[in-house]
Amino acid sequence: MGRMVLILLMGGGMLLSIATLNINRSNNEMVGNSVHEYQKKEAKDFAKSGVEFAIRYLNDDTTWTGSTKQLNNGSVTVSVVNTSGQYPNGPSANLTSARQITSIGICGKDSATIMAVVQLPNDIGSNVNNPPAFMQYAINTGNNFVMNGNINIQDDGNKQWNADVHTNADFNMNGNNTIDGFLTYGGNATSNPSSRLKTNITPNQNPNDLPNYSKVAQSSIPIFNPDTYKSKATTIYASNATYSGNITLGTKTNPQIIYVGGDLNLNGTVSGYGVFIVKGNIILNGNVSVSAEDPNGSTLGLYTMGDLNANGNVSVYAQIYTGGNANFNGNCNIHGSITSIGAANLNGNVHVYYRPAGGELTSPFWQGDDNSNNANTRPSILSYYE
Amino acid sequence: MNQSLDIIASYLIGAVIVLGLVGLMITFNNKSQETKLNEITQYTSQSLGDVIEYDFNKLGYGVSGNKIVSISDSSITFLADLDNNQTTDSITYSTVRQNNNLLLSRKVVMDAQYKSWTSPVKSLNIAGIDTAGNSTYNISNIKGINVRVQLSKEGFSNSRYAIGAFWQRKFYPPNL
Repeated sequence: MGRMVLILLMGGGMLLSIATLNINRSNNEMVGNSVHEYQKKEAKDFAKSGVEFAIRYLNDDTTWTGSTKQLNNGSVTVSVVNTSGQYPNGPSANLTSARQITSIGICGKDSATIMAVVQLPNDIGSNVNNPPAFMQYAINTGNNFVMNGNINIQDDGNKQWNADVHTNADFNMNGNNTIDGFLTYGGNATSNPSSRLKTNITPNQNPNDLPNYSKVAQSSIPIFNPDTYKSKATTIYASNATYSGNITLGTKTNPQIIYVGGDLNLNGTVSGYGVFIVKGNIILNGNVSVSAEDPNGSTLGLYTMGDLNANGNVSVYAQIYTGGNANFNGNCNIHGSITSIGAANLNGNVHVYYRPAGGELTSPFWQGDDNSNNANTRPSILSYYE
Repeated sequence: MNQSLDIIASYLIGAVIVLGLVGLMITFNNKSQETKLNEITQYTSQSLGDVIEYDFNKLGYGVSGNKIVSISDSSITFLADLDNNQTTDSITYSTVRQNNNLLLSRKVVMDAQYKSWTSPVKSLNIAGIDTAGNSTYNISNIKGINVRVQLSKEGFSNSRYAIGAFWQRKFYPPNL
């Protein structure tokens, strides 16, 4: 009997040992999995940090080609080469000032590689040809800004651009309106329904996770008097003027400046670069089309001391400044930007397709700013592959 | 008489010891099985997570137009150049039911070739995230994707051991 119990005890002990070993092995495997997962994530984080590290260095020195950094339990190796392609190792897209970053993060036995193409700013730290800060919005008004109806404020085919809106006073939108940029206001912001403020204001780019709409300090929009710049004008109209048909203006480096002492009626196709500086009002009535050719920015400036009134089927490619109000009623498509000391009233079926204002069209009148939210002040990521 | 009592007592003691041993072995075997299932579930969730991360981190890469084709709470179809060869691939995640088992289905149309892969899951939940961090299924407002996958051993949840794993990740694809 004693022997039998002994044999049973030994057999049981052996089976228990096997079970315990299995449990230990499974536990070890799970710990191993966790460690592997941790290292894999660390390696990826190292690689991501490498891309940011490269962007930070390229911001200071565009000739920087990379380096290796030793980190806790790993390392990150960054290399930077010139590229004309939009995608890593991709075909040429004729880009200039673009760099391909390859970042390899290593943690333990795991590694991760991230490749990115970044676009360098054309003029880091330079304010040459930048428009003034008050013209770096899709819409910037000194007075109330009201959107009624079916109004869209969006980029003009480039998601890198935020179609930002600012008003020094109150903002109000009624209906199904959208803004593909940030909204800032000096007074109050309301919408009907109220939820649209949260849902219909969506910046294209928000890397710092800023609030989509916020109350900010008022910003000044300088008063513009065309008489001050009459001496710079290449063409002068003492009173009212009407332009229609094919309108040929100047060059990018030497834009034409047209002074109008009264009201300006405009309808036609514009080629070249130029600015209308108007003492009276700018009138776009009926079936009006003012088109321009450069897809990267505005080529036409419409600056008036008075109001801009657009009624009917209006399509205009321009950066607009009004000392009075900017009134758009009907079916209006504005490709450019609107700056108004007075109010901006958009009623009906109005679409604003934001294009950055061209500094060459503002530099004869205002000093440029380098704190542009559109001009690149930091290398921007064009594509990212991990 | 005394000898008979000794034998009976020893048999009783032996039986108690044997029963104790058998009970202990059963407990240990159950524990071993539970731990093994935990390990398998954890490994499966990691592997599944690797596949999902690989795809979703590339969402929109190499695509110029709309990047998300469709999205619902249990499926998504999006475009990306997964293999960086300058051709756009289509990736679909959804669930399919097969023999009363729910499967996570990954379908990829890559370089004009169709590839499909499934893995058993308990549930799949997908939601778009807008700039305010709220859930949305309006494609034009989506700035991120929230993916939740629950794994479990079917038929085991009714016992006292409910082996399962919950995998969740919020993606903010840089190319979206």
